[in-house]
Amino acid sequence: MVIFASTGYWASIGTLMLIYLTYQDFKHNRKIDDRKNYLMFGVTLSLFSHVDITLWYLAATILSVIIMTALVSKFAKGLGAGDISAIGWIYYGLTVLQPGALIGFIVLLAVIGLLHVTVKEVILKIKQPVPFFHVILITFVSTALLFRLY
Amino acid sequence: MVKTLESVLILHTVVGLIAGIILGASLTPMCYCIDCQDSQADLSTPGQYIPSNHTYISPQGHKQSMAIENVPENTIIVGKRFIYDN
Repeated sequence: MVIFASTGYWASIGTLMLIYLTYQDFKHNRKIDDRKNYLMFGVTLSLFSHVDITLWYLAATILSVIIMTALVSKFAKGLGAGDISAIGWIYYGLTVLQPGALIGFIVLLAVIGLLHVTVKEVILKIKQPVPFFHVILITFVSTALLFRLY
Repeated sequence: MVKTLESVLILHTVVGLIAGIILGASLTPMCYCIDCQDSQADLSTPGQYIPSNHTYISPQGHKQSMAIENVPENTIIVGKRFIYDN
């Protein structure tokens, strides 16, 4: 049996959630509703009912998400728990759908993140933490458009 | 019932999972048939006849896992899913 369905819903719902979380991030000064991220984890898990992947690939994706989350938590001190959760489900979804898009996402996140830090620290000279979700949103939408995920 | 943070988060994950399964299965994809060069191949209507040995690509054509190759004769679509015997 082959299951066939469109997976564009993942990127569409993800974009809506990221827009909402970006709004919250700015409105409530870096406080967001993390339940939305967990809702997206569920939506991401649902991709497995629509794509045909092996159990080993599934195990590898879970392991890589755990490693990625641990590394980001350790080294990216400027990111909040909500930011890491969002990057977690995006990472997981892209790994399942298209590993090539994941590489694109990581490169774009690095470039846009660097731009964000440069504007914040060098141009505006802001030392305290600032909202970061807009960076994730822009990166996600750019990746989804670039790799035709909608 | 006491609502802990974990139970709330798990509940939201389950809601998202169910919503995603329903959404993904109910969307009607128009596929591209390489052999017919038909970009509007309807592969989701129940009872639709699918020619054998034709290769179909999903709307997200770059996804190899979504491509259906060499669909056998007399393939009948049940619901939104392909069911066939080899």
